[in-house]
Amino acid sequence: MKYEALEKKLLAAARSHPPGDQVPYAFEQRVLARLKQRPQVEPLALWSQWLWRAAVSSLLVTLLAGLWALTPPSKPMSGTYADDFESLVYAGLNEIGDSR
Amino acid sequence: MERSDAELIAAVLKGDTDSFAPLVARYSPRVFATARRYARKESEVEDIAQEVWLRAYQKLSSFRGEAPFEHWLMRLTVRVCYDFLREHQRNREVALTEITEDQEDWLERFNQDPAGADSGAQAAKELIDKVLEQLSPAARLIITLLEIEERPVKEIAQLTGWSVSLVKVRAFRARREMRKVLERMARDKYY
Repeated sequence: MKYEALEKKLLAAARSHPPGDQVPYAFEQRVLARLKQRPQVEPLALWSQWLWRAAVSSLLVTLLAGLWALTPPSKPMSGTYADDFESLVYAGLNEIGDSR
Repeated sequence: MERSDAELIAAVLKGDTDSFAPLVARYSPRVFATARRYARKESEVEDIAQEVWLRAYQKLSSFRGEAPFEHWLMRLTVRVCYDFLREHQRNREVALTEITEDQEDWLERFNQDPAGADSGAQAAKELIDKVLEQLSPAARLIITLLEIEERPVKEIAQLTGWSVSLVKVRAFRARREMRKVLERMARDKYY
């Protein structure tokens, strides 16, 4: 059996019998009826779309915050700054102590 | 006076669904002809055509108008047909035993005189349909577009959404797959 010749013959047969292009009666009416049955906007689909968008932006913020947290500070905390911070925190308590 | 595609599309996008009907009427013959290449039953052909138009309506806002509407619609049609082939992969591995007497006669005539066998015969058309049904969805799509419709590779890439190199690779595989089916068909008949 000459397969290459058979292949060519069969493909030529397919080319010589093109499919018909007839359309069933009132097909466009059926399509239109189906379109009008469908809800224009699906609230659930819209809601889930928003949720996905929120999830993506939240993930981005989380990653940025994580990166920022892992990055070492450019300047080590000076002793004076630590002392100032401590006195500021205890300032209220010191005031209460002084008034008694 | 007949409204142009652009006018009808603009009206549909503004909410006038009825303006979609002339588009459906205008391009359905092409959609049906394409669908008939991949589905045998008329009910399946109509399902494909309906799916094409429903998707076209849903995605109409993504139509840019840079190319004719018909091109955009045919891309959509080919993709819907491919989805259909992938969903209906059953019966592909069935042996080619259901060859009718006419088809067997045609094969016999071809075997005795390859040049003399009539490619216009109905039996030959039925045989190629059976061969195509044995192919994988991608192979069937490629053989149909490349060998039967004789479209260039670049156009097939646009229609399918595959790259040119992927079309070439799949065409090579499709030809090899088709050869195997033909060999099996001959083996079932002669051995």
